[in-house]
Amino acid sequence: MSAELVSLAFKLLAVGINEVFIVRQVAEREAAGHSPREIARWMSELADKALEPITQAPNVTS
Amino acid sequence: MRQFFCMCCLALSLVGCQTFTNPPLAINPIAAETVADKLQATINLSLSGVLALAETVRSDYDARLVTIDEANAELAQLRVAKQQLDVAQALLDGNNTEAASTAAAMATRALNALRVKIEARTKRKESGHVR
Repeated sequence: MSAELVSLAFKLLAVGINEVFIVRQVAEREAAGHSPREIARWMSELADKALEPITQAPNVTS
Repeated sequence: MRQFFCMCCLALSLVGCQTFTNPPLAINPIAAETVADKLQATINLSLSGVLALAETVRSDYDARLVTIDEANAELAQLRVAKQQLDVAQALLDGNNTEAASTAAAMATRALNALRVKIEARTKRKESGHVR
């Protein structure tokens, strides 16, 4: 487990509103007693949905 | 009204700072004690990066900053990185921490490269240099 890998991973979390919301949700799950592995499974499922190809016109309300 | 806006910004900033100065253990490799825990936290941190970048791409598409082809190309690149993270997770579940670490590093490098690209594109478009 190299320091480089940890450093690379942290670069992903530059301050941004999307990251803040995700980190808050992780904190809530952790506080609710979910293990890191369970949190990984939850994020993996969320990511699979978020990464589905876009097929519709832009959602102008967001 | 201006004071209210400033107070809201300050409150949001404080919430954000608290989140980043005291991150949850599940995404904090530095606080983890064992190699396996560090690796799990690194995978989780990278997954949160995948989620944040996917949200950014979708938001940029909704804001018409990118075409559907550009957005889907970036989502496809994110899917590749996510698949590498899935491989890393499977290796970690099988106690193969060395191979898992290599797979996670590959995914994280790919994510960082994509992040730089997305941020640069967003900055260019915000300043009106593109389209």
